[in-house]
Amino acid sequence: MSASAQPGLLWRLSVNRSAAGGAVLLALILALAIIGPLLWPGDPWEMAAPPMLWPGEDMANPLGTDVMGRDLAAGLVSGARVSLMIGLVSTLIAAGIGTLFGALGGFYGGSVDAVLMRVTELFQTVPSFVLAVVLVAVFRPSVATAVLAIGIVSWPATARLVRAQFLLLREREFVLAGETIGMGTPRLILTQILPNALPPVIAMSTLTIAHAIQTEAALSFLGLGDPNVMSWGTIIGGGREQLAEAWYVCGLPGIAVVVTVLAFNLLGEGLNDALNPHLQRR
Amino acid sequence: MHRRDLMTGGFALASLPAIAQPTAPVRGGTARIVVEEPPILTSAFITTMNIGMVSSKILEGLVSYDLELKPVPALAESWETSADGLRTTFRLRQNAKWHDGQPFTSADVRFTLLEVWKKLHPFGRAVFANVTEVETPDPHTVTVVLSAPALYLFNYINTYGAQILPRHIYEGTDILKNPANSAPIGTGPFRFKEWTRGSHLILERNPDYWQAGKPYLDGIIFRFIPDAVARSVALEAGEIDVTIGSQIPVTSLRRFSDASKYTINTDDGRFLASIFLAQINVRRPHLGDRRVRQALSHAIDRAALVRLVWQGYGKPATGPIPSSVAQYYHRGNPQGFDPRRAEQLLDEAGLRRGADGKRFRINLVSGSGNSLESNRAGEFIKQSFARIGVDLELIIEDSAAYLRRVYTDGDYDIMTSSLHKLPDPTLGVQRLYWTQNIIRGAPWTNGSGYSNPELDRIMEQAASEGDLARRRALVNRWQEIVQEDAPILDLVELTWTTVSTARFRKERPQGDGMFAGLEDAWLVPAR
Repeated sequence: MSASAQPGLLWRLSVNRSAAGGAVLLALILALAIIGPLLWPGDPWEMAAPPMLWPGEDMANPLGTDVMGRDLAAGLVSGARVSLMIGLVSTLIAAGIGTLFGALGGFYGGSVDAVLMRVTELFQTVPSFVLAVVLVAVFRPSVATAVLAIGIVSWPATARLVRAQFLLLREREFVLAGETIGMGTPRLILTQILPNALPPVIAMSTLTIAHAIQTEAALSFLGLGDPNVMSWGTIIGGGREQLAEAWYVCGLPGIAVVVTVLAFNLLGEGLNDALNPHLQRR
Repeated sequence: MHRRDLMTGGFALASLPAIAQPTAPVRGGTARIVVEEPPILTSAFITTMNIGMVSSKILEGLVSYDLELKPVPALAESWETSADGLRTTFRLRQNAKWHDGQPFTSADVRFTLLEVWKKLHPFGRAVFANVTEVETPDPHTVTVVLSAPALYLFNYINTYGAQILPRHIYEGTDILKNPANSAPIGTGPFRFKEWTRGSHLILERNPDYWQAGKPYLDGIIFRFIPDAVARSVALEAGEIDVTIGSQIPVTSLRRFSDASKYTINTDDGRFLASIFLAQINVRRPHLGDRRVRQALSHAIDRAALVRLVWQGYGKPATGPIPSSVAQYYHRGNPQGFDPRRAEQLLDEAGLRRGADGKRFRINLVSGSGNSLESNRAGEFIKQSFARIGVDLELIIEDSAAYLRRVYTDGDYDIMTSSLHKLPDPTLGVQRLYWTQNIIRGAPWTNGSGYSNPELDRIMEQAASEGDLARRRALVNRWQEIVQEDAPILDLVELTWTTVSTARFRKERPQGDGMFAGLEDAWLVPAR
């Protein structure tokens, strides 16, 4: 089934304007992250130029320098890698936890489901950003704690989605058939239900990545970023006090965050449309 | 007259803005000043700076300090010390009155010294440790009797260090809980009127002030604006007149560089003699070796640090005493920027570069409550160390965890902090190096674990030396020893900025201007 669905999905994505737009933007950002360091070699932390140089003022630093004379172009490129990495890893964590909770709850139902969903609700009722701030502040701010915190606050939505899918698929004939021929529970979940429940999870995870990148930027803005790593949020946080004198220090990485988040959102929406059979038939 | 003279003269006149011409003080007007909101309004037993910035307008000390940090009469008219250095007599103002009408007398000074400063003030305990008796032969004479000479005493008796409280309000009460702490009754130029917490605090003119004709201002309104950007905007919009205590971030100061509109005073905080420093934990591997500490010192370009992080507001530090403390500053032999020498020293210490170009890895701990500049300086130091092959991990902890890590657990390699060295090394510097001050769990003590019996002896001798020349010689030797041993890398002599509109004037420049009474301040009327 999957072999025949793949070309169909790609085709559906390519004709979906938002998905195609998102994919192109994302490809550009990825290219920047990968080949950028070749164009702007050198340490993004190097304080080599005069501080607060405006973009275009000196072509040695085409995008200007921050408050301590660090090249913004090098910082943005380094930030692209860090921000994308943080978005991906924290989304993997969120998807992992969410899928586990949703799958078990949806499959077993009853009291298991009740307990798991109460836990999920507990996390849903606390504002996710506040929880992330608390988690990072309690542990020491670093890339690892930021990734973990964002993962921990982002999983409930995935859990709900997976649970709904499982409740739906649990009663379908092919699952019952599998049960009848004596498949064990893990096999049933992993080989029968999960593959069919995943497409919307993937669409959702794309949106989670966007949210994670935003959250990391916000955490760094509040001074809860990793002081050893140059992410977009780090640059924004460092430029915050000079907003009136040198807005571009916050503005350029801010634009980078907006574009990246937009790319992931477009792609996520497109995936959602492409994967949703009801919408497709319309 | 030459033509050139005419031209330059004309130019000077034309470029001199009308407002900057010397003007005679004007009576009237209310100054709107921004400070960080203080928890209480009495500095007599607590060193919190923003308390001092407000309370100094209401309560006074025996002296204030000029730009050279020499004492200037305040409530004490004059003073003299006996030849053996054991008796110091202060003559007090005869016409000073408390805000409730009671006369100010020697009994107030005796009470505050013995019951408040000596017992409750964190530094006062050390400053007045040698005081055995306070004699009050008449209402306007106080004689302080000492068990050993204490020259440092004269360097900490302004309204911030030793604020005089009214005996008739405080005697027999729980001093720390006295309601007057939040609604003080003082002798100062301004009387407390109203405090709306979270918003503002109003002081009004004291009509019975002992300096005839002063204060010039009708009153002062202190406003509390927590956001730095909002403070800059308020000053630009003319909603406030003055910000005290570096309330405008250094990176925003260029917006106030037009001297016809604004004044940036960088002398008001000389008294605090603050230095941004990196303290090294000498108990850690490698860091116990003096050569390694010297190498780290040689790795840091202090001039670039001042330029990049403090935007030029500050001075490269050369040793434990800042150059503004002219009486005791000694340049000695600073371990300044010399990366080649640094690498050489590390090689000699057997810490050669590995295959990856790195020698060893250490961490640098700072507090999230520290200034923005301090965290930026951490990034600067990391870059500096990377160039000599030392890998530095930056760790930012919240304030409590930072203090615990440094002073209780000793779990750090390097820490950064901005510390007040004060105008006397016995008060502000000895605490950081003295072996007896290695006290587990006590913040701002000797947290590096450095111990040098020779230096201990010199510091103890300096404390009780009554002859200024001999004391200076001891303090010079002291500075040379800690430069050589480098348990603490003194990096930047910090500048405290008072940013005001150019309309705000003050007759007398003060080294402790952050804690000035402002009886001599006025506002040039707007035209």
